[in-house]
Amino acid sequence: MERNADQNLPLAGARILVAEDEILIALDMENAFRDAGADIVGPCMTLEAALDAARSEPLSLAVLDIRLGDGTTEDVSDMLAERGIPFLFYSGQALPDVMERKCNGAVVVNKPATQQDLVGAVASMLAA
Amino acid sequence: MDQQSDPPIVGIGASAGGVQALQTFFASIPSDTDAAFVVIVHLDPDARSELASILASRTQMPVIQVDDEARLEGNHVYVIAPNRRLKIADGTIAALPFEEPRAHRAPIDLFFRSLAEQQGSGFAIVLTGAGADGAIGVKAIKEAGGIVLVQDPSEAEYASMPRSAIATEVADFVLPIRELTDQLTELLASPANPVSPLIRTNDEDTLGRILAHVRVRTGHDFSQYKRATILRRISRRAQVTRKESLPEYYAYLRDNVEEAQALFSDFLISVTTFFRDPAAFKSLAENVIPQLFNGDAAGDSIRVWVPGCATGEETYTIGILLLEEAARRDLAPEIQVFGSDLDVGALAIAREGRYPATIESDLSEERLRRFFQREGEHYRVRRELRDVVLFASHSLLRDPPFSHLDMISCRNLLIYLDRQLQQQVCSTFHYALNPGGVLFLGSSESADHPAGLFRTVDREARIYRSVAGTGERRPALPVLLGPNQAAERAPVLARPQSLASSVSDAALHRQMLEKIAPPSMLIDESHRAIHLSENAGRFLRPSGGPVSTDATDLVREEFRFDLRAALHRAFERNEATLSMPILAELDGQPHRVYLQVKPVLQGSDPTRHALVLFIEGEAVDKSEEATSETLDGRPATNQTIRQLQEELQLAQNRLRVTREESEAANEELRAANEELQSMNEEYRSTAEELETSKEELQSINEELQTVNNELKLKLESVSRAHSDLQNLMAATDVATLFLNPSLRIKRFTPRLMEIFNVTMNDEGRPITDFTHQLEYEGLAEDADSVLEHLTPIEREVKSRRDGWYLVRMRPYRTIDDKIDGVVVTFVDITERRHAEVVAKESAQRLDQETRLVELSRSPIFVWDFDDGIKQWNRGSEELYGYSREEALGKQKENLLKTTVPGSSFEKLRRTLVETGRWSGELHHTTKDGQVLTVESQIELVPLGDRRLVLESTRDISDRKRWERRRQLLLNELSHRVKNTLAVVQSLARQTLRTTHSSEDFVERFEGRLDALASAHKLLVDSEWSGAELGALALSQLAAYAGTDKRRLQIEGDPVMLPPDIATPFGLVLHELATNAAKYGAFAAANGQVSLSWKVGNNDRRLAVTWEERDGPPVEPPAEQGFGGVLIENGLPGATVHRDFRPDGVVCTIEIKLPESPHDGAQR
Repeated sequence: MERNADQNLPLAGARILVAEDEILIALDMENAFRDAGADIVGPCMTLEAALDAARSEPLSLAVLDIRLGDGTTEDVSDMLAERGIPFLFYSGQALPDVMERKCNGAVVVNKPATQQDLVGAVASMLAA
Repeated sequence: MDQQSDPPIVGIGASAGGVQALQTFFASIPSDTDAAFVVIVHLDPDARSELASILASRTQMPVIQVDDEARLEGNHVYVIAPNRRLKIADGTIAALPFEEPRAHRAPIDLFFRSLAEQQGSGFAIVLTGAGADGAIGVKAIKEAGGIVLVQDPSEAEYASMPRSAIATEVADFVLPIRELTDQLTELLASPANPVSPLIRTNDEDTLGRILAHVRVRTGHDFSQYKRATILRRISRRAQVTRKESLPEYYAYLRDNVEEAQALFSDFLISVTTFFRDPAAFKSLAENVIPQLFNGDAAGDSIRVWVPGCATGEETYTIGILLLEEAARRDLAPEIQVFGSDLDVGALAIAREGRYPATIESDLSEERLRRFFQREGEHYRVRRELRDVVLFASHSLLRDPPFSHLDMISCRNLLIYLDRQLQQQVCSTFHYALNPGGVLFLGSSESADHPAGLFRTVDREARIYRSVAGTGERRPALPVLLGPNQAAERAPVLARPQSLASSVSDAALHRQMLEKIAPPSMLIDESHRAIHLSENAGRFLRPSGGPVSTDATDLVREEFRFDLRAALHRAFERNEATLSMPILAELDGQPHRVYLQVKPVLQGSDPTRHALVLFIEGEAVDKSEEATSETLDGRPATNQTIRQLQEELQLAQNRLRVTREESEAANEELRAANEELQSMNEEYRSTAEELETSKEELQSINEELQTVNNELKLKLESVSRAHSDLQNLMAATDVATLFLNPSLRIKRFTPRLMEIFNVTMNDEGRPITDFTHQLEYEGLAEDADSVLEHLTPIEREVKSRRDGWYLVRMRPYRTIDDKIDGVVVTFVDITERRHAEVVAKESAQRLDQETRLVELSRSPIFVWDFDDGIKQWNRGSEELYGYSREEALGKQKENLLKTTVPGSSFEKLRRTLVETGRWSGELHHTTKDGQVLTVESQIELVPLGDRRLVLESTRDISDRKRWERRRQLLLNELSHRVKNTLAVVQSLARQTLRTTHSSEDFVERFEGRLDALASAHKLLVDSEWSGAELGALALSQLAAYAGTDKRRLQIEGDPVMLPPDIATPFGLVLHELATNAAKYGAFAAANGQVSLSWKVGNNDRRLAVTWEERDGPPVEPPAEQGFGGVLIENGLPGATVHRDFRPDGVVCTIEIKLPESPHDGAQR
């Protein structure tokens, strides 16, 4: 069924970076955010792609999986923090201590999450 | 005293050894003697006495311990109680506490004295005992007329008491106990008192004869002693000699020479003690003695006489009082106390000055200490006291008294004399004393008669002061009795009793004689007139002045000269004399009187009496007298001349006689003088000899003192050395044996008896005689060797009781370095050896364990807390790779690069010090750099001044690894599940987007889920390492192909797809397949799908081709479904191209594979 575009688009105008190496999840997220009115950068399925995007793309927010490929998205989050771009983690695992300390209270949405939760988290982060 | 109702009392005294003796005594004495037996022994004042019960088993008589009072009954035995003395009074016996603390040393004396005071004829028995208790008491018994029996000292277990009693010379019988009991039984059986028969007047005669006999034999006349005393003494002797009547005894006395002496000794018995009647002496000391030191005596000497001093106690008592008073003042006048007595034996004792220890009850401790020297069981008078006292043999009644005395103490002597004698003795005392001198008498005596001689000072104490006689002139010496008794008695004896019938004739005869016979005067041997005839008075004219009975003083002056000469001749030469006529004025007329003096001869006895007869001659013619008166007138005729010549003749005769007599007297005097001079010379030389011997004795005494002191010091030093030796031996507690050169036992310590079978009596016997506990046969040989070579020998020797001894033998050297034998010590080293054995065993054990540790494969090592590694076992070598040589000495934390996770090595060290142990995980680095995680158990062991650390480790690196891996797996799993759920979630959502109905949704969704599951299965099977492409394709496509192999063709080399590619690849294949099944080659029966791939570019580039043929005609889709999206975008990093050819879709996928296969866990 096709979703009808709503008048209520919480993420309207946002440019969101999605870093996720599982294609199906990434596509799903992409749809969810698009439906909510956002533009998607990515999905970046490798660390290099994510870093590139984090470095040079204009972004409103980034949604990162904690693990990306072989490593973690620590450098990505560092980059984003440098740029002052808010980000949250959407992952099936807990933040490793190192990243926890750096990010210091970063939002982690646990997989699997409903579209509502995910979009809601992004929206509230954008609003903050 | 009623002899009938009161039983005779037998007092028995015993001390050491007495229980045995008393048992024998009571076993043999009959139970029907009717006597009361009182047993006095020395008892411990604090302990109970079983004596009564012991004796009760030996006799049928009841045996009672006297605790309070008891009536004395015959055939009963009374025993003294502890800490009590016994006293007899009126037939009862009472137990009283001791008054003097020392007096309890002489209970026997106390009892005997009490017995003597109460009853006349008691019996005193002295049995075995140490000391001299009873010696004084038996004398009191004897004095009171009792009988003394003493156990034979050679039979007595302790001979001292019997001997002391015998030494007093009052023992009547000295016998062994059994004979003693026989004797006593006989004595008790015989009549109590043969005194009663003496009341008969017949025996008066016998008594006289007895006394006369005694006088003859001993020279002492007792006829004026108190009758009762004399009778008592005689009857006692009679009892002892078992004579029933007085004449019988007299016969015995005459026939036995010794009996007279015995009787004489009995007469003399007097008991004297120190301070007898202490109250009286107290009065003397307070009232009299001080005055002696004042007045005339001060500066001069104080002279005291004690007549009848017996054994001298009273004399010494007076001496003590005088010395004490002298010490109180600073004066030291010369003190002289004379003690005199008849009894030579007693005087010897007095001179000796040695008294039994029982005198302690009479003297205070201070006096004993000051005036006496203790010599064993006796006290000897010290020199200070002995020097002031002099003893002499002297008869109060016969010899002239001492004179110029300040005091006379004569106690309990007068009571033995009859009244007349007492008075005369008092007069003698009065003569002997200085004016104002003191007379001290005994408690039942008095100095009242003759009256006027003494004034009472203290009647209670019997102290009298001599009243000064008549002014300054010394009173004449009163008449003393000569060797014969007073003449009063003599006429009585000399005159025989006349029969009643002849009285009148004799009286008439006497009367006539008196009338007619010349007046006469009876004179005694001291020229005293003792009897005058009726008419003798006219010839007497006593001169003025004190009245005298001297014959020559009584007669008229005219007769005196002739009388004196005549008496002299009569008494000295037994010649009768008739004097020349003496002119005497009688009845106004001169008469010629002839004096006839005739000695009264009695056989060969010296003349005792003389008779003076006054033979009255004719009256002298007055004319003659008148003529004789006028001498100067002429009428002197021849008759006158003749008368004158006659008178001259007479005068010349008289003168001649007188001259002869005078010459004779002179001769006599000269002889006497010479005698005296020679005696004096003798005495002087004797005195000088004595003085010399005294000095010699003194110096010998001093020498002896010095030697004695030296010996004493030596003895002390030896004693001390001995004590030290004993203590040393005891302190070392080592069995020691001293052998002499011939290996005989000299001495040994008691501990030796544990090893050798010796007793204390075996000193002197060879050591080889004795068995011992040691397995040591060579004892004697070793000893000989030591003696020969003078080198010590030491051996460890086993004892038969599984002990061990260290035997050390060395030569015995005396102080002057002579060899005098061998000293052997036996030191018990059993414990030491056991300890050694134990130590050895434990050392062996330790060794074993060390070796075990060494060989063990567990890493165990020891390092010094403050230093390096000390021990390093094989396990350590194996685990850490360092050899022992490499490890030893290094600091462990440096060698192994120890780190403590979560802590520090410093903290570990601190914990070790505080608690002594630590356990936990450490990181140790091996020699080749491998970091191991080990579980370590560490213990700190102080060893002396070092601290050693024991560490054992266990490599848990693998475990750690597994744990990490497990954790990772869990994380991974969690991640994957979440991821997979998210994937499913997105599949569901996406499928929902692109399906139009529920059934459609379900079909598509299930299909995709299935594909996912298949892909996952392959991944799981490979442990998530990856899925092989061919297998993946098959799993996804096999269902569509069915059984017809032609429909599906799979071609390609095996390629491993990593999991993150395999999953989406599976899904992609599934989409391709479902699309083919719906619209493409799988929809037609002839349709075919061909899947082929190639890997190029070093396994990096994978090119996959999907080709469909012979299917329904293809039309490109109108819209992009999710499947299409999935196909084109689902593979990360892949290039996907779908070509919708009309005869079949062709899809090409180009994907880059990662470089190396990963270990799943490392992701």
